[in-house]
Amino acid sequence: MAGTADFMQLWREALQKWERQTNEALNAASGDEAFSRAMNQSMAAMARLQALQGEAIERALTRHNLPSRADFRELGSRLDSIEAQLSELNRLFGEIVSVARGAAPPAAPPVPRPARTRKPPQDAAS
Amino acid sequence: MSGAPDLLERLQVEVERARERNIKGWNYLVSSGPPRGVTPKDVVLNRGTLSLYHYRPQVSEVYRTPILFVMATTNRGYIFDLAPGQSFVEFLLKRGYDVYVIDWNPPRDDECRLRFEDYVLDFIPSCVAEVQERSGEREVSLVGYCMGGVLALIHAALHADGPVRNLACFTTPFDWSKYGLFNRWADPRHFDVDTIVDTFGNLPADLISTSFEMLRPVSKAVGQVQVWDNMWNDEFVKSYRAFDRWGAETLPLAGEYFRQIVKELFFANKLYTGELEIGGRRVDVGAIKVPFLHAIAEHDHIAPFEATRELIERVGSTDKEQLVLKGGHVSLIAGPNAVRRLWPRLDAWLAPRSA
Repeated sequence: MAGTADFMQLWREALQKWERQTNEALNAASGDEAFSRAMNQSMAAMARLQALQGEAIERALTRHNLPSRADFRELGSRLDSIEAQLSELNRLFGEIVSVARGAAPPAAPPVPRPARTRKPPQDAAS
Repeated sequence: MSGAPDLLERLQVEVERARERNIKGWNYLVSSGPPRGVTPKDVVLNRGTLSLYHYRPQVSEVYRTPILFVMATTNRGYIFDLAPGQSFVEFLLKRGYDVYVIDWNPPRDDECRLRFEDYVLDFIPSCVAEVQERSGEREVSLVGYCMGGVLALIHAALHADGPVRNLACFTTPFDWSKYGLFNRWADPRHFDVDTIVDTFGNLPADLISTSFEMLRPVSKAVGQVQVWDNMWNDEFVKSYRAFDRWGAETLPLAGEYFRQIVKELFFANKLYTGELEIGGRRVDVGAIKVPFLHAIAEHDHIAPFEATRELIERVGSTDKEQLVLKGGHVSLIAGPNAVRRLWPRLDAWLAPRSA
C-alpha cells in the first residue's frame, strides 16, 4: 500500500522516464543530415553577420578617430610584455640589492617540505 | 491493512518537505553557493592561458614522485577541488601525494594562434620542469582528464624517454570517429570550421556549452525541477550548485587549437590512425612504455565509451590497466560516485608506483 500511496515517488520516476525518452527523441532528430546542414548554415550565417558588423564598427571608429578593439588588443599584449619584463627586472633588482648588502637573496614564501620517503601501505606494514 | 497510516505518514513527510522547500528555496535564490577550490595552494606559474598550482602538503611524509594533473581545456580545474570533503586534491594530499594541477584561464584574444604544439611541447614541459625544480625529483606522474588526457597522452608519446614515470588518463577520447552526435554535427560536408575560427578568433564558450547541452537537451530543465524537489536536502543542493556552476563556467578554446581538433581529430581521426603530427613528429601511443591507467565511464555522454575504450590496447606499456566505472563524464572524477570508485582506485594504483 505504501508503494501505491507514494505519489511523489511515482512522479519522480515519470519525470526521469520523460527526460530519458525526450533526450533520445531529440538526439535522434538532431542526428540526421538535414539538421546538421541547417545548424551549420545558421552558425556560418551568424559568423558572417558578426564579421560584417565588426568591419562596419571598425570603419566607424576609424572615421571618428577612435581606437578599435584590435588596437586595444595590441595595446593589451604590449602591456603584458612590459609587465613581464618589469616583474623580471624587479626580481633581478631584489637579488642585486641583496648581494650588495651581503645578504642572501630573499627567500620564496615558506612551503611545507615533507620528507619524500612515504611507502605504500603494504610496504609500510611489512 | 496499514495503508491509511502509511499514507498519512507520507503526506506528513511531503508537507514538511514543502515547508522546507519554501524556506530553503529563498536562501537558494539569494545566496551565491558554496565556495570552491579552497584547498591551500600556491600559483607557481602563470602565463596567459596557463596556470600551474602547487597544493600545500597536508602530511609530514609524501611519496617520492609528484603528481601533475592536466585539466581539460574546456573547463576550470576546480572540479578536482570542488569543496572541502568533496575534493579529489584534498583526498590525494591526505593520502600522501605531492599534487600539482595545470589549470587553464580563458585564452586571451592574442592567444587564438595557440596550437597543440604549444600545449604539448611548451606548456606541459614548462610545468614538468617547474615541478622537477620545486620537488627536487626527476620523474613525475602525469594525470589527464578528457582533453587534458589527450594532451598528456600526446606529451607522453612524444617524450617516451621521460620524465613521465606513470601516466593516468580519465575519459580520454582516442577513436574520434565514435563520437556519435558530435561526428554528425561536425560533418566535414557542412561544418565550416575555418569560417568559425577566422571570424571569432577563439571559439566562444557559449558555442561549446550549447553543444554539450544539446547532447542532453532537456536534462538542464529537469535538473532545475529535481533541485526544487530536493530543496529540503542540504547535501543534494550543495552538490548540485557546485556542479551546476562548474558546468556553466565553460572556457573558450584557442582558435587554431580548435581548428586542429576538428580537422585532425574529428575529420581525419589521426590520433587513432597514427598519422597525427605535432611539431613535425608523428604521435605513436605505442611508444608509451610507462605504467598506464585509463579510467572510463560506462555512461559518458561527452567522451563516449566507444570513443575511449580502445586506447588501452594501443598504448605500448606492458603494465597497463583499464577501469570501466559506473557513472558519467563528470561523476567519474567528482561527487559521491567518484569518492567511492575512482579516487581509491587511483590511490591503490599510484601508491606502489610512486615510492
